[in-house]
Amino acid sequence: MSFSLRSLSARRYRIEGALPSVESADFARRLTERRFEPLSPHEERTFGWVTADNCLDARFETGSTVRGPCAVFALRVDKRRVNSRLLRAMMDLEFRGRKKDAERAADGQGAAGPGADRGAKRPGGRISRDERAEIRKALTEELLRNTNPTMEVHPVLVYPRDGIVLFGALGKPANELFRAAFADTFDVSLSALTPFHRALELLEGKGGSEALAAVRRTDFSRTQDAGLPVALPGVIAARATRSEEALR
Amino acid sequence: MIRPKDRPVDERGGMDFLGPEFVTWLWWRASTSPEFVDASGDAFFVHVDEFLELRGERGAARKTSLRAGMPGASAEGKVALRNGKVVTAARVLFARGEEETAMTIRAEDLDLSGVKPPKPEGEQSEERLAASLAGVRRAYADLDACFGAFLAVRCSDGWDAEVEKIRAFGAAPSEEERSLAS
Repeated sequence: MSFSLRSLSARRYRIEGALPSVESADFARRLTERRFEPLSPHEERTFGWVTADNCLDARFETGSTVRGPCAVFALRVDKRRVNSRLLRAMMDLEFRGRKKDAERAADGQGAAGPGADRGAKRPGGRISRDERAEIRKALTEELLRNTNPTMEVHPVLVYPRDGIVLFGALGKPANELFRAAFADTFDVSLSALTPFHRALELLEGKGGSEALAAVRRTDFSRTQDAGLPVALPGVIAARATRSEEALR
Repeated sequence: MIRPKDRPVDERGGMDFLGPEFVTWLWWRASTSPEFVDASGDAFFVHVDEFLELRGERGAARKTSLRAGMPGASAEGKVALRNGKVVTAARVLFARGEEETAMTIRAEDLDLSGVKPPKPEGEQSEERLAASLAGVRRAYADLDACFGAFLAVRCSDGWDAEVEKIRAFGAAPSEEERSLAS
C-alpha cells in the first residue's frame, strides 16, 4: 500500500520559522514524538502523525517521508462520541429503576435489601443532582467503551523549498487542530495563505500593505441601487435588499 | 495538551472581498483573454469549466450555483454578475500544451479542492507520485501567476477601466444567448 495522489483538496500555509530538514533525523524524531497513539478506553479523541502510506503505521525513519519535491505524511484523528439520545434513554431507564426501588423500600418491601439506600434517601424516590451526575458519568464511560471510534486521515504535503505546507482538508476544526499540532511538533507557526496574506507577499516589492490600503470593495453590477420605492418602511427595505447595515 | 496558538483574529485582513473579486476577474479574463505567463515566461491558458458559484454581498441566501456544461458561457452567470454577485467558487482548467490541471478555487480563502494534476508518467509508483506532487506545486504556481496579474491591475489606476470591461462583459449577451439567436 502506498500513497497516491489522484485528487487533492487542500489549504495552503506559509511556514514561519526554521523547519528542520525533511531529510534529517530531527524531522523524523519530532514526528515520532507526536505520532498517533490509539484511543484509550475512556478517551473521546486522539490525534497524531501517521505515514501517508498506511494510517496504521506511525513509525518514521530518517528521510522516510520524502517523496519527490516534498515530505508527505498524514494527520490521523480518531473520535469516539457518545450518542446523546442513547445516553438519555439509558439514564431514563436507570432513574425509573431507582424510583421503583425507592417506592418498594418505602412500602417496607425489601427494606434491608441491596437497593435499600438507592434513591430511598429522598422522598418520592427523587435522585439528587450529585447522584444524577454520577450515573451520567458511569453510563457515559460504559457507552464510550462500547462505541467504535470514527477515523479521519488528512494528508500533509511539506514543500521545504517553497516554505509551504498543504493540509488535505478544508474544514475549520481539522485545520485548527492541524495548525496547532504542526506548530507543537516543529516549533514553527503557520499562517494560512488567504488572498490577503498572499497579496501581501506578492506585493512585497511594491509596498505590500500600503499597496493594499487603498483597495475597496468593487461593485460589478451596472445599475447601482436600481430603485426600491422610497416610501417602503425601513425593515421591509432591509429585507428586500438583505442589507446588513439596514437590518442593524 | 495542544491548544491553538495566538493568531490574528481575521486572517482575511478585513478584505474578504479580495478572493471573490480575483476569481470574478479570472472568469472574465478566461472568457476574453485566457493566456497568462508563468514565472519562467511560459504561456498557459485558463478556462472556467463545469462549476461556477456566485454570491451576493454577505448574503448566503443570494447564491447562484451553475453546474455542468459551460457555466462560464451561460446567461445565468452573467445575470448574476449584473445583479452584483461575485464568483465565490469556480472549477478551472490550467492548460499548458497537452497538459492540463483541473481544480476548484474557493475564492474566500484561496483554498483548492479537487485538484487533478496531469496524469503522471513513469514506470515506478514513486516516480508517478513525485510527478503528481510536482504537478500540484505547478498548479499553485500558476494560480499565483494569475493572482499576481490580478493584483498588478487591482492595485493600479487601471482598475476602474478593468471594472468597466467586466461590467460590459456582464451586460453583453452570453455565448449561449448568441448561439440561440443565430
